This record gives sequence, structure tokens and C-alpha cells, in this order.
Amino acid sequence: MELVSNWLDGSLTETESAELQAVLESSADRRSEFVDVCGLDADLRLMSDVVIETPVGAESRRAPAGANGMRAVGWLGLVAAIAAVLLLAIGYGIGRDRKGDAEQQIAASEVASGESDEVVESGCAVLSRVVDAKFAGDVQYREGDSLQPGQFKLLSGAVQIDFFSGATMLIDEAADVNLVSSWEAECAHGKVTMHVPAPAIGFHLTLPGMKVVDLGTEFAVQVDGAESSLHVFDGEVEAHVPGSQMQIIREGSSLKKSTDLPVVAGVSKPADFPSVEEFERRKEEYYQTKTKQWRAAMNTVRSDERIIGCYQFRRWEDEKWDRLVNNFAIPKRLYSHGSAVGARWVDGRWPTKSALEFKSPGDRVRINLGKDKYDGLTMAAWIRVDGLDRKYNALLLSDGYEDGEPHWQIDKSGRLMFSVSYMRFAPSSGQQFDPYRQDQVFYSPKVVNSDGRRWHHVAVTFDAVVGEAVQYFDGKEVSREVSEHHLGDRKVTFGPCAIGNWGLPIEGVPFPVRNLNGRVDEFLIYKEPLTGDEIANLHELGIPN
Amino acid sequence: MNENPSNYETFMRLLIEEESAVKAYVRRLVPTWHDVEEVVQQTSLIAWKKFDELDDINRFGGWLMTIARFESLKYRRSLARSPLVFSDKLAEQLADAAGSIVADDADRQQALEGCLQKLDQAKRELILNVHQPGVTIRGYAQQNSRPEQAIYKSVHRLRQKLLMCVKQTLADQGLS
Repeated sequence: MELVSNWLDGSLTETESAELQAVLESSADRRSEFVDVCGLDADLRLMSDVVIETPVGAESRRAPAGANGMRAVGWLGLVAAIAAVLLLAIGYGIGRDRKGDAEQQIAASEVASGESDEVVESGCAVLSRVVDAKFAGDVQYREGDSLQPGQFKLLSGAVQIDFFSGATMLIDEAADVNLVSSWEAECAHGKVTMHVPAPAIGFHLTLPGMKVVDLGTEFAVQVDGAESSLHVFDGEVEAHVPGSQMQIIREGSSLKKSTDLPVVAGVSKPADFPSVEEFERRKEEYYQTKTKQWRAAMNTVRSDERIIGCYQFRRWEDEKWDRLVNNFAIPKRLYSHGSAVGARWVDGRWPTKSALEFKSPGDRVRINLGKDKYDGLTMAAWIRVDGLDRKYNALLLSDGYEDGEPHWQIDKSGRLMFSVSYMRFAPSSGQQFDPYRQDQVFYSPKVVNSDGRRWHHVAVTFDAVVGEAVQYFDGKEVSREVSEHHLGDRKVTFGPCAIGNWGLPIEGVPFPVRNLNGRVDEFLIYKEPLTGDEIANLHELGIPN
Repeated sequence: MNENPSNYETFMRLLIEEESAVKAYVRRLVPTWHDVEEVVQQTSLIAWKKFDELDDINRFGGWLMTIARFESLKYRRSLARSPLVFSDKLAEQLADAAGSIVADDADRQQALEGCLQKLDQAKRELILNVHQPGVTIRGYAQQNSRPEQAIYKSVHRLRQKLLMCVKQTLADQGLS
């Protein structure tokens, strides 16, 4: 029982192998059982390749009835769809034809197609703008994050919150807001401007001593200790103050309420409150500074003597052909600039930093770092994953997969996977001259999620001398492993590669689609393994906000 | 070499259809899942190169298995020094062994999926987790601080249970 398990997961020892062999040789029944278990193993492996649960979080999903989180498997639909065309039947037993009954197969496959696999969202709003913001507590929100109902505390900076109802809230400087639902919020402290378009009419904002029901407008509130005030800039709102009649407050008017004092009317001044225009101005200023600081930090990075590829994804606006992805590594390496194919220029980690977006199966950046051989490598990139659509999602892959060439990708379940191709030759004793590949795929745990526009730093280092690969996610080590096939005197080399895709596989053969669905705005390649501290430092200096 | 684009499509469709059958078949002949992927990749390339020679696409499955068999045995020889490779005789026997589940991929996998859903969540997660690439039962036990023997036993029981259940499901549908 252990023997078969160990055979299946590849951890069988020499002695165990001999023992298993003896058992299998002794009986046809045992062989038949073994064949069944091997078949089951293959089915389960293919299934766990796609079924793997994503960690609960941004991508939490509702369990379909009776399935308890098991996801309908993609290939099942595909296979079912063509089952009617093909009547060939092969099971765990060797290719024995079966006179299949097409109708029965279709009927059987329909049963499976009813399962739903819908991702559900439990938030009530999206954080749509963030300017130099600091938040209370451990959570560091980023632009694009979904917000769950609950307390939202800003220490400094400014943010814009878009409620799912369509209402928009601007918060500037320290504020303490409770998000109740898509239709309701409470402001316990701070200055808040609300913009409520027609679809969100009826949005409630509660202040200490006052409840505001919007009638389609733009207004602001300020809460400072026991004093609450309401200012209407456009349209009108209902103000409900306990103990007095509901009042309609119109454009240009304001209302003040202090504990134990009656309400006082006044005149509102929009300039005292957060505005979208002010937001944009501050944001631009902030990110220009940010870009400057980042460029300065990158100057040290690009002149590191170990760097061979420093792709910063800088867009040359006035270039008619905007396909150039410069290699900023110093000293300059001839012919090493990248060329974008298909991919579009978009915003990167922050609005004034450009990135390339990879969407279609053809999108990629072609690079060629030459045929030099090295004792190791480091690859480090800033990426935003919008979806893990493919079985393998490319980060950087050498065109073919020849001796010493790296492949770095993300599998469907969100694990980083890195490998270097090494060819071995069979012993020359026989006539056989069969080169075969003897590489190892290094997997990280599941770390990558398509978690709503978030940028992440991914890195891998490989030491070809000792055969050790270390992978990093957001500056932290997530896996470290020595290749079981390690041999001395091995080297790595890049040659022609593609970022975000698999360049040119073998000629004339239909090749699997591996394009990345997402964005890349920095890709660094070194000819040596960097240390963990150096990777953490690269992450640190590139964090978006 | 095939140039006709519609041939590509036919070939890819057939290949996807047979993917898990061919993997299940190769699984019994080479030592690790990684080797399975290698052999299946090689098998697909050869099948594509020879696709023109196949007269009747209804025979694609059996034809592909023949290539897979040949490639597996060839690959085994390239691993000859590995202590994990079975003798030629046993490999031949395993290649010919029928197994007791003979249904096509769609039916079998659908049955298996139904059977997985009958397990409670913890068991289902266990069985799927230990079948992920790179995971070994030993490693899994260590990582989860569970006794190795207990995991071996649970996984063994679950495999038996799933096989029984798949057989029963297929028999109920008259497909086994």
C-alpha cells in the first residue's frame, strides 16, 4: 500500500521498487489492481491540476449546491461536447473499442453541465482612488480593492470610495467612516464629500445627531467631536435630526448640529471640502514625485554589475512605433532591447508609470539576451495578474526549451513554477542515443491570485552550480529546493525569449497557448542568484503606494 | 508534415479527447508523473508528425496508445540506470494488463467526479491535495504535522473507495 503510494508520488526508494516489482510480478490480479490505481491517479492529477481551491479571499466563491466548493471541471464540458462525435472508448484498460451509445453519452454529460462556478463578491464598495494614503491597523488598502462592510479608518492622505449603488465618497485627511452597505454609511469623524447620481438616490449617510438621505446631489459633511455639519453644493438632501422635523436642505445651504444645541443654518463653502479636482491635482503631484524617486532608485539597480536585463517598460510617447521596450542595463548590451508584439501600453503600478498589458494569445515582448552561459540567474518582475486562464501562464519562457534555458510561469492554481531544461544522454554502451530531458520543475505554494488589480513582485533565483532554486512573492521567500537531478558543470543561458508568452516552440507543431492575462511593468534579469535581502530590497523600492 | 489547418484542429480535438486516457496508460509504465508528462509530450509530437498516415480517425485512440506504449518503453530504456525502472518483462505485462475499469474518459471522469462529491470535504481535499504535482504523501504528512502512516492509510482507503464507487457508478449506467 505504501509502495504503490510512493510509486505514484515518485518517492519510491530502490529497495521499495524491488519489493513492488516482486509483488506485481507475482500476480496478474495485483497488476490489474495496480493499473486501476495508476489510472485513478492520472485522473486525480489531471483534476487537481484544475480543481485546486483558491485561498479564501478576494476570489471566494459560493459552493454550488451539493458540491461543497468542488468546482465544475473545465475539460469535462469540452470532452462532453465532443463525446457524441467520437465513439472511441478507452478506459484504464488498454485501448479496447466499445460500441458506445451516443445518446447515452450525451444524456450522461448533460447531468454534469448543470453545475455553476460563479465567483461571488461580498463587498459593498471599491476603493477607486488612493492618494498617498495611510490606513489604521494592519490592512494597507490599494487602488482597486473591494471594501467589505465595516469600519474604514484613514490616518492621512485621501481616497475615493465608489459604492456599488453608484454613490461616490471622497475622504480627505484623517477620517473614521463605517461602511454599512452599498446604500448606507456612517461618518464618525472627518470630512467627507458625497456625490450621488440618479441611480443612487436614497443613499443614507448618518452623522452623530443627524441622518442625511440623499435626493440626488453633491454634498459634504464634517464631523468634529460633538459637532456635525452638512453642506449642500448641488441638488437637495433630506436632513433628519431627532426631536425636530425633517428638513430639506438645498443647494448652497448648510446645517450645523452640536450636542444639546438646536440646529443652525449657514452657508456652505465647497472649497472647504474634498473635491475631485483637488484629488487629481494631488494625485498627479504625488505620483510624479514617486516616479522620480523610483527612477533614482533604479539607477543603482541598472548599474549593478550582475544585471543583464533591466526592462523598465518606459513608453516613448513621441515614438510613432511604440513597440520598443528598452533594456536599461548598464553597460548597454547590443540588440538586447525588447520588442512588444500585440501588447498595449497601459498604466502600471501607478498612473505615471507605464506597463504593457497582455491579453490575446499573441501578445508578448520578444527579447534576446544572447547565447552567453552563466552559473545562475535571477528574474524579478512586477506583475498584475487579471486571470489565470491557462494551464500555464507565461512570465518568461525561452523560445524552444533547449539545454540550460529557463521557463518561468504561473500554473492555473497560482503556483509559481520555474525550470531549466537540461538534456542528459543515455550511456553509450548500447546503440541507443536518446537524449532525454532531466530537469525539475520548482513549484512555489499557491501565491498568485487574480485579486482585483493588485500588483505583486515575483522573483526567482537559480544557482546552477548547486542546483538550488528559490522563489519569492512580494519580497518574501516562498520556496527553496535543490534539484533532484542536479549535476555539476551545468550552466544557464537565455537566447531568444518571450516575456508574457511562449515565443516560438517547435516549428510546424500546434503549440499550447500560454499567454499571460495581466500587466508587466518591470522585468529584471541578473546573471547570478541574488540574496533574499536583495530581493526584499527590490520589492521594497518598487511598492506602488 | 501536415500543413492543412483543418487537420490541426481535428488533431488537437482528438488529442485533447485522449489526453487523460493516454496519461493513465503511460502512468503505469514510467516512474514519476513528470516522466508521464515528458512521454505524453513526445507521443503527441510523434502522433502529429505521423497523423497523415492514419487512415481512419476513429482508430485514433488505439493508434495513439500504440505510440504511447512504444514511447514509454523507449523512455524507460533512457532511464535504464534508474533503480526505479521495472524489468522489461514486468513493463510489458503492465502495458498489456487490462485493469477492471474500461469506460471512456468522459464517463469515467464524470463518475469519478460524482464519487469525489460523495466524500466529505476534508477527505476530498486530502485526496486532491496529495495528487498535486510535486506533493508526496510523506511531505504532505510532515507539512501538516500528521503521522505518515495515518495519511498512507487514509489515502489508500480513499483510493479503494473511489475505485469501487467509479466501478459501481459505471455498472449502474451499463457502461463498465
